[in-house]
Amino acid sequence: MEAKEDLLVVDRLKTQFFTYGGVVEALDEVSFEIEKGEIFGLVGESGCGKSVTATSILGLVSKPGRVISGRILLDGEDLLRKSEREMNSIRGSRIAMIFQDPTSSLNPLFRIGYQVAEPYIHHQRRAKRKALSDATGILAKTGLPDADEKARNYPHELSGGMRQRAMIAMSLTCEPDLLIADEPTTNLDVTIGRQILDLVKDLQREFGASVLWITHDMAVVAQMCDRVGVMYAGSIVEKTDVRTLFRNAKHPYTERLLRAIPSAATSSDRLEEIPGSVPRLIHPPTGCRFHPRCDYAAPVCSETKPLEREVDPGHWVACHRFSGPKDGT
Amino acid sequence: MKLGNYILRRAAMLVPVLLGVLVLIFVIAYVIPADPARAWAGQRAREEQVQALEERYHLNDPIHVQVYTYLKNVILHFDLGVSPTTGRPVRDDLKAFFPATFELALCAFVLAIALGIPLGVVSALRRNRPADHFSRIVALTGVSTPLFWLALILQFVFYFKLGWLPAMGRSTIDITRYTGFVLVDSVLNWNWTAFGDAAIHMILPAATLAFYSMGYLVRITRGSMLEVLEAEYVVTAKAKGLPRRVVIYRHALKNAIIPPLTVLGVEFGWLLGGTVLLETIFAWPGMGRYAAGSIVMVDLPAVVGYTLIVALVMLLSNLVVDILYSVIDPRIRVGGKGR
Amino acid sequence: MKSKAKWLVLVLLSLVVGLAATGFGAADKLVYLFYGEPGEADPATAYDMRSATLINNVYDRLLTYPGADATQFAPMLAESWEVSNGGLTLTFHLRRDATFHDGTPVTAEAVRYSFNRVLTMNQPPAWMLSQMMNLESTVAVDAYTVQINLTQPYAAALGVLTHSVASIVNPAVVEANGGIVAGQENTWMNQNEGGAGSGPYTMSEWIPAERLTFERYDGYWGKKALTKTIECPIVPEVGTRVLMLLAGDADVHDQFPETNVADLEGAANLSILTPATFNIDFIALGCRGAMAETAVRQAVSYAFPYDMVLEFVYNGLAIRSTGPIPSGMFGYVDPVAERRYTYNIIKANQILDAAGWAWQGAAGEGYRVKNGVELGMEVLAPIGEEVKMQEALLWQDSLRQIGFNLKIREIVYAMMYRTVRNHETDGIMSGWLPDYADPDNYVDAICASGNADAIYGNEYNNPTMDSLILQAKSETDVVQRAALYGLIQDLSFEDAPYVWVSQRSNVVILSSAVQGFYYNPILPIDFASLYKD
Ligand SMILES: Nc1ncnc2c1ncn2[C@@H]1O[C@H](COP(=O)(O)OP(=O)(O)O)[C@@H](O)[C@H]1O
Ligand code: SF4
Ligand SMILES: [Mg+2]
Repeated sequence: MEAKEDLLVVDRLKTQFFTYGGVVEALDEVSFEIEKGEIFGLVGESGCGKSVTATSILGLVSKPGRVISGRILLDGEDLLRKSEREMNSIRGSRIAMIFQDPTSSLNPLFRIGYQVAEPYIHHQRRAKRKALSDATGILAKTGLPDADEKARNYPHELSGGMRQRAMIAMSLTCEPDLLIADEPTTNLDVTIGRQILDLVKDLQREFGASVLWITHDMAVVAQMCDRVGVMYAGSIVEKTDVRTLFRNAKHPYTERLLRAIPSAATSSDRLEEIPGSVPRLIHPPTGCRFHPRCDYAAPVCSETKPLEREVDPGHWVACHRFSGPKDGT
Repeated sequence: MKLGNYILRRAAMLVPVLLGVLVLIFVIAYVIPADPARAWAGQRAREEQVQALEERYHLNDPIHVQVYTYLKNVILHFDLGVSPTTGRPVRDDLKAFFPATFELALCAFVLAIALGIPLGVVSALRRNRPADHFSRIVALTGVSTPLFWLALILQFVFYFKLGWLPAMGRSTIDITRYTGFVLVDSVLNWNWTAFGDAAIHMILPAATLAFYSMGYLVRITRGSMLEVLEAEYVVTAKAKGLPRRVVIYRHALKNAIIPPLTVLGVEFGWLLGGTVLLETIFAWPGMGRYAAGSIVMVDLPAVVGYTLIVALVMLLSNLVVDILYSVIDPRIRVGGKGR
Repeated sequence: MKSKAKWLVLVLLSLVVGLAATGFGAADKLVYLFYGEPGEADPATAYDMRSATLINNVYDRLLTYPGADATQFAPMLAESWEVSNGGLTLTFHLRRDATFHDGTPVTAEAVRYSFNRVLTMNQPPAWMLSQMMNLESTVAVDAYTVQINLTQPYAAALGVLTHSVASIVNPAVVEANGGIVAGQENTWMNQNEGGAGSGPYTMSEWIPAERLTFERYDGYWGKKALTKTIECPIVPEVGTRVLMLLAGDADVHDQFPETNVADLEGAANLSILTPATFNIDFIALGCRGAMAETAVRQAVSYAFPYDMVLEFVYNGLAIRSTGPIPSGMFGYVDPVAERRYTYNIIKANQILDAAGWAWQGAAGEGYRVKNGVELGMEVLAPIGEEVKMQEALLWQDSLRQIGFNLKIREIVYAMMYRTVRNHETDGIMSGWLPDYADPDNYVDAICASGNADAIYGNEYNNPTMDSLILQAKSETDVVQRAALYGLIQDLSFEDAPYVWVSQRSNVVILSSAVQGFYYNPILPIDFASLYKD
């Protein structure tokens, strides 16, 4: 396999929320890496920890939450050891993020152009006027019609698709190394969603950024990603390139996910067809967190947490069924 | 432009509202089982004097004639009638008492905003830390302390015990009263002694009056700020790597200020009304006391005049708030459909 | 930044200067507290105690009372007077040195003008003059002689002329400021003095709801006022007045509320006087239904806990009243023990038993009935008068012991009048403040059939009482007249149309430095006699 350079390495990341009800073990030793120029997909049911992974990387885990342990290496530097100030200079400039809901993610009281221009003003110290005209430029690049006029509009005056284009423009202002897209098409209708997918892909090629693409939609994964991590209840259970995933998925949960894709036509539907429900993460199931729902569950599954193993080169699975002879059980 | 049109339209709407208020007061006055002329003349006056008063104030006319007569006098002569209890034209009374109340309410209003909103913001930013506990206690005390009690305590401490502040009145120095607003008039007279005198007279009543509103504003601001800080656009702003002060004071505060702003109109009305008690305690020559006395005496001309002016101020202050709101929030289309 | 700092210093400086300027204490200034705003400054319109305080110090009348004595008259604008023609003609000889505040002399014509002005304007207090004179009555015989030909003899006529309504006003000032309009008040005179008076003080300032200021009139004909300036802040809240008195920022306060006396007791810088007033409190009994029976009215009069009320409700700041005429006034007689009511439940029960009111159940339980009617009444208690409410509650309690059901209804003053006049209730916790110091002012209003119903709605109607009152009105012989009032009082005991409760004290608070204070129960405070050491 061709050795490529890793841009981001997430290593045994553990994030927890200290709520009144108890400790929510949202991320349980999540590890993956994203190569330069790669689109890495993170897929899983709602609530499995995808967004927490993203906010952990940005250092913006929301209030009762905290990263407990692990490492997040960006170009070899551990973000978890950075000061708030250093992180601030990384956010929006080296790592940018696109959120799921462009409506609530844009500030309703500021003009689109200003919001897009802010990173220029604060990261690149451009004069406000220059920043605003540059913002119009990048807005145009995202295919926003009449970017000049739209820049002067407020968010509520734009359609959902246009808003998401504005969000994308905002994230690309400083030509980030890593773009995190957290389900950016979920709230858009199918056609618009497609356009956004194409747009991100085009821009990614043009800017050469790496992308962490978060989705619950297998069809989107197939269309967008180079490699994929499948998440279940706070852990990555299977990790491989996208072709292998669709042809040779190993993990019982991944199998289920793939079976649950109804048809291409309705591919953006949510994955609600998987029987059983996502476990609560305050007292997660012991051993393999999937065992209460797993068709193959063996006694060991409820006792020991399965380790990730490279079953084929570049294909990692965390399941006792694939633990191999070395484990002896 | 659009805003100008909007203001004009809203101003035009004042007329029917005021008319409605007027008719309403007359109807109420008409149906309550009181005997206004007897109340004015006193228990001892003979029937003929009472009848003379009824005659003079058209009390025996049918209600529509009373309303018509009143309106005619207001519109043609700007004459609000003579108050049978003070014996003065209501217009003069209001001219004398309204500025005192308005000045007090306005000072309290400014004080409440100047303290309440920053405290609320600090409280939200320092959630569950000492600063938060402090301002929450202040807020709770503010909204739960009876006004008269607070007034008496402050008076006792700052007037009687310490002797720092006067206990009553608006001023002790005579100046020409051009506007009736003593703080303004003392400046117009270029009399700084009088200004200082008026200012120290203002401190106790304004502080007392401001206290409740301040507590209320702290609570609203804190709640709204906490909510806004969790909003996704604030996360967006952080994800953009904006400095904390920009995230908080630009992105969050501008949104968080809207709920407190929307209650300000009502709050100002409350302050105008809340002065009654304080006007009594601090011997403040205001409209609230005048109104309270007039209501007890069924002094119709005074009550009608008072109600009209309060309604007018309430409507105007709500208009101002609406305009401010629409200036801050582009989603409120000033020219568009009425809210 | 720098200019901001300058500004701050300026503001602070002016604060300090302002603070220094607020201190009172000039020796020729005295602070008298008003607890509420006077109604009007116009003698023809004003009809309340606070207005009278203002008017009496600014305007003069023909005659007055000497000092604290309210039983005889003293000269004022009139040096002397005669009553002739069987009490129908009053002749006044005016002093020649009296001047209005604009320096013009007070003449007989001014007197005629003043009285006819009151009659023409016909404002609430006008009845006092119109009951005994009309527009032809007053004649200026010469520049300094006035003759008043009464429309009917009235023994209290001189007393009427001491009231503020009979103040003499300066015709020139009135004519220059609105003149006289029949049936209407004069809004300028309501608020200003402007040389219209001839009294020891001029009213130099009246800022509504804020303060009034009086300045000595140096051209006064009589003894000049001892203090140059009387400043009168209007302070409605009693707590604030208490603090001002304690702090020494106020010198004189009369009609101080009984309930707050305790707040001032023991203050070294204050003295407290409690002279008896002519104000009486009583309960009007509507003489209808069960109350139409004299026996029932007598019984409820025996069931009133007089001593307990005087001690605990009035805090000892009142004396017992035994009839419509207050003690200390001409015509008052102190009744013998058996001709006055005392708290006597046994006697009350005996009276009701004899009158055929039987207990519904066992004796002492529930209420009495007769012919299917339950024994009881409703009484109105005006809202805001704590004393009257407490009185009613104590009475209600003891009435239970005689099987009498008292219902108490609280009501605002403005609504009380109609309720009373329409007989929509049975009684009122009420009282009488005199207009002038004559028993007729009391008995005519309280016991004469027409007025008793018009004012108290009590339908009391005893022809003997009415004729006694009429007789006393015009009786010129003082001894005869006093005897008639003795009979009236005794009849008021017998008929019991009211429960006679109390005669109140006026609580006067003086700072220790104040000298010259005297109290006349019929006159408002006399500023001219007050001074500070
Ligand atoms: N602020 C929070 N407080 C408590 N628990 C949280 C919070 N945010 C996320 N979680 C928990 O973390 C888990 C993962 O959430 P998230 O990453 O948002 O899921 P998704 O994969 O749908 O993006 C969820 O089970 C949720 O309960
Ligand atoms: S470890 Fe066991 S329970 Fe978990 S997925 Fe594999 S077989 Fe199923
Ligand atoms: Mg999510």
